[in-house]
Amino acid sequence: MSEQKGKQKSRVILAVAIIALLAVVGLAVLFFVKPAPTPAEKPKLVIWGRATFVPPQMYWVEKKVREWAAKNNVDVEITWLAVADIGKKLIAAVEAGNPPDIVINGHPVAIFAERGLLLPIDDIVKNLNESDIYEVKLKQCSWEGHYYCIPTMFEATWLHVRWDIVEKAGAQDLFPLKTLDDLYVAAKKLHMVEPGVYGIGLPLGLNGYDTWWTFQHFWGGYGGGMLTSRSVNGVIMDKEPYRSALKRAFEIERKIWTEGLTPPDSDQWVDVSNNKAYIEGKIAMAINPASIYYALMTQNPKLAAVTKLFLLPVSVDCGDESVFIFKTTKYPELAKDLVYYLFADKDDYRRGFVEASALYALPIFKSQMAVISRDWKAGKYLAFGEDPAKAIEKVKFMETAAFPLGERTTVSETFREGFIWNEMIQRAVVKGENYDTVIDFYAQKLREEVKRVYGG
Amino acid sequence: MKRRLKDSMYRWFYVLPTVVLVFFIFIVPIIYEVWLSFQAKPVGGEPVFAGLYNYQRLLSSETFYKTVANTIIYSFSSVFVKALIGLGAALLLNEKFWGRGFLRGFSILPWAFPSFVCAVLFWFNYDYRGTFNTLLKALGLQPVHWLSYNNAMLSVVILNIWHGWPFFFMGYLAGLQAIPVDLYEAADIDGATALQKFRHITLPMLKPVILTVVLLSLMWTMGEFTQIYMTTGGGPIDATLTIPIQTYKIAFQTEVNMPLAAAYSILVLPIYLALIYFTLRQMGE
Repeated sequence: MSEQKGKQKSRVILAVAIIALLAVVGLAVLFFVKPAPTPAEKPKLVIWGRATFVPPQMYWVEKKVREWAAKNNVDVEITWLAVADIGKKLIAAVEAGNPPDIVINGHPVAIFAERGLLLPIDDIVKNLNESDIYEVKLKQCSWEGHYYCIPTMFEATWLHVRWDIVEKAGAQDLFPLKTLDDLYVAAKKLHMVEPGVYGIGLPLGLNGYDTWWTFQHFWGGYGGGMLTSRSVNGVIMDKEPYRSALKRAFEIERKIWTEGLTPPDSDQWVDVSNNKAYIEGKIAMAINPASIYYALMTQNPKLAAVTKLFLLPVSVDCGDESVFIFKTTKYPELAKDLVYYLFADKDDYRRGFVEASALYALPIFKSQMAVISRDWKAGKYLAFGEDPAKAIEKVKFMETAAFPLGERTTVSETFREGFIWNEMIQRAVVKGENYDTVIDFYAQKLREEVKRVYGG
Repeated sequence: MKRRLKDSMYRWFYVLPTVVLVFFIFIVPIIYEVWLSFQAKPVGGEPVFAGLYNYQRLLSSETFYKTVANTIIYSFSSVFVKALIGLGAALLLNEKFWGRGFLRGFSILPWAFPSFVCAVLFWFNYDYRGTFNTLLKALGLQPVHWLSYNNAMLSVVILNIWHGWPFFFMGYLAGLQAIPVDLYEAADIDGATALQKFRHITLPMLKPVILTVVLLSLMWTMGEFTQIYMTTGGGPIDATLTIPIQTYKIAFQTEVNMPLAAAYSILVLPIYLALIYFTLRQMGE
């Protein structure tokens, strides 16, 4: 009996030992042994795309990628990621040593380009006719004399205006606004003309990009600045005249907030909130890329019919979405070829990516912008109160670029991505803290970050 | 002696697979994290030894102390209220009355929802035109900015209480049902009041359960991420910035600085380890 027990015990021990050994061997294989690629395997490109608010843009990208893959006998795997996720997932993938081959319509870029993780694509830019691409867009993708990405579009900001309310208030002469200060005047004039409709929807929430770039209109528009170079000495936000400009920007937003010209929950808004408020008819004006207008046409045509779009005296380009290739790709030439293929047929790009978005996106090519402008003059885009080509001329700032430097930097990307600027806006505008104290605090924070990233 | 050694060897053989797995999926990452916290490392770049720099940075930043304070306020206040509500509900539903079974099942419902569902649900509740303000208006009261700077902490605490109190209720109810009835009968004979019975029988008998449940919940609440991230994102400004949220932000948003995030985790590790130790000791007792 006891002998049997002993035998059983021995068997169990043997089984456990074998399982443990297998586990260790398995893990060791997993960690240290990399399978050798078979020479005959079909090349495969892993692509991550940033989902856009305009589905037709994604359909167009999918179509182009699949077309190219079929022609070149390449496997492609496309994953669409949400706006809020793509940055973090890319960072995590890079840290894990497993980034995708290509990113389409994605961001951030500087953080990878400045670390030398991206493939230079000067040849693609050259083949697309460099001089046909707007300089401001090229600048967004160049670091130390090389191009590392191609922006997918201009995403200029427009003032969406309820024209029926404007007419009711007799404020037609105000539009298009002559100065940034006129925005406050207009908000006051249009406030509660219709019961329950606020003058403007001013995003002030912590967790939305809209808060930042809306404020950028004023900060930059009043002559403010954050960085002039990638050095501690380049931090200028607390130096005159930049400090005064920033205080002025705080002041106009604070007036709108404290006088209740924007809905009382604006301080909790996320990116979709101002879109939603406009579409639901709760605000008379909204500053936003034309994604609101696109949504109106599909969700609320009645409101679309009484909406007009104007440019502010300053326009911010929110189009930081770009196409870029990671150096780790096994197939650099194929990846480059695909990127080139996306933009090579410029007319197709205009039709599939720009026009299909109802001009939420504007083209990066001057030749295609000329077509849009011509069509506008012919009365094709009635809601646009001004020539879309003018929007490009008025673009003075880009959402993730340091200004007045005009280039994307790791610091400007992380301050925006981490909602640090939003924190600053909330402290000054919503909480009403002393402007100088707030400016000193964030200037110091910016200096520390510049020092950390670029050294003294 | 030989036999005892043999026995303990057997035991080790039995747990060997688990030990191997735990080592690879738990110990190795912790060792890596400790090592990483002493490095400086840009995204995708090579790590460089930086000594105590990350720790110095954290300990000299106001935000670090703010997040620790927020975490303590958030977790202790919500655990305290959850413990009280759970106890009240358990005492109530331990009594026999018609519909008790249904109420017991219904009470567990909030806990059955995943955290992110609760967060989305409360997003709608906390909206300025949402459920809560609609109710307040119906009662003739002023609407509240639930997620504004002054109220955000209270709002995320309320959300956590709503989601977590059934866990306390279930634990306490199980504990109450394990108390021998004859103790109460003896107390009745001695003429004890309800309050005296609660003080001298229920509470002492329930103490081990209370401590275990409280410590477990404290650990979970201190590590809560989803509910806060999805409702306030740690804001407005830094009103609800807790340790898990700030660690995530440092790693992926504000600095993209993994070593600093690792240092953050390591710095607060003793708090969590102390809680784990007390919980295990409590369970052992």
